[in-house]
Amino acid sequence: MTPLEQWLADATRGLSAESASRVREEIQQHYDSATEAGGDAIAALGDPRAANRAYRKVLLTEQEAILAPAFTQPKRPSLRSRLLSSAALAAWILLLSRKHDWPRIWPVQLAIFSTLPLSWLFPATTLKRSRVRAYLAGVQAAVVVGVAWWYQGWDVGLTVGPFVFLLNYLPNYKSLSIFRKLATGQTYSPLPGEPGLTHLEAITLHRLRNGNPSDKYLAPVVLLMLVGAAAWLPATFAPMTTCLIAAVVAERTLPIYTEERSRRYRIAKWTAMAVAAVLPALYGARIPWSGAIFMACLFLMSERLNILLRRKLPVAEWPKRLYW
Amino acid sequence: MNVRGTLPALILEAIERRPDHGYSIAQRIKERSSGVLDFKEGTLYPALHKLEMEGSVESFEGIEKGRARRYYRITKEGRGVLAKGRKEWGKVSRAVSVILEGA
Repeated sequence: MTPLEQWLADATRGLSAESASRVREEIQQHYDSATEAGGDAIAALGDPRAANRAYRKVLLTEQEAILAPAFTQPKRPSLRSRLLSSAALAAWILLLSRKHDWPRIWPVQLAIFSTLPLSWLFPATTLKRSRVRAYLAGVQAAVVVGVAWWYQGWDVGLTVGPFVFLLNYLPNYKSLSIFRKLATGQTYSPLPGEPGLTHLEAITLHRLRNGNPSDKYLAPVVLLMLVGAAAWLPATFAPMTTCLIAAVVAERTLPIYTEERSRRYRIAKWTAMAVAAVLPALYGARIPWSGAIFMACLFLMSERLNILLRRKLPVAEWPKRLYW
Repeated sequence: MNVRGTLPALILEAIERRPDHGYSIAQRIKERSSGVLDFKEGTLYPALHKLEMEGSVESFEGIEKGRARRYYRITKEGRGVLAKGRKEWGKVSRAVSVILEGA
């Protein structure tokens, strides 16, 4: 590999195929001119990692190119999924209203779910809409912290706030970044079609196969938040946190990579999660035991696409992480 | 010397009179500053793409010495950004001069 090829490989890491091709083309032109003029062309280009960081901000990355069709040509949610999510929300609020001090709970719930109808009524399908949605999501996260702080204390405010921010603001930020880049005429190749899979399932499969760059930041943050929650309210969150840490260790050490072993492992994992979710109710933890159930529901939701993929893909095609 | 944050304005100034390609823009900035303003050329292109994203420049394919090149030209918005940049830099440089020369 020549020094220029090495520089380009480092500078284009994680960029989409089209972005990488554009960088290669312009740097090659630059290099040719610099070489003709004499001098050390590679030294003049500088640190390729610094260039890579700068390129990622302005050119479509590989992950953004994969996600782009989901934002530019979104499918409207079906009536069934709208009914199911509305029913789940109603059940959640009903559960809270029975178990907790309702006048202190409802304003927080209202703040958390206030922007939910926007995904149906005002989907982020253009740059302008994405800007509005990102702005609203930021405001909402601040409002949630304020309302939770006011009604339930600073500890709840500071716990709920980051969750709402992570779940709501970051996807909007991503769509904003994609639309801003597409507005300059950048293009992307659609993900190669996977027979029998929806686009969302194909994205998930691609990430399971190739890894998701944000995982290396997100996984430690989530783990840190769980450990923090367990230290803060051990009766409510310690069983669930212990269970998840055990799962992380087991997935990386146990020989679970056959269909039968994987099935047994997943039964054990989800049984343990269910026990950890309802356990706090038995000894009346201080904070609503529903906190642990809420956490379990989040993990179950994040597992939904993996479940669909296991049903649709033959075992021989499962990526390693689908066994978990 | 690399005065942080000035590269976009320097690029806009370099293409104010005529469109140009990346290598020529980099050389022109270095020559006009007599080599005082130095920056790593690998960061020039992300800065150009950012200006393009903001609508300050637009790019097109051109030919130079029989070779395909990507040229950049300043837009109306870019001229506004450059005028604002000049004004701000004037203020900053005057303030710095007053402090350093007065010391």
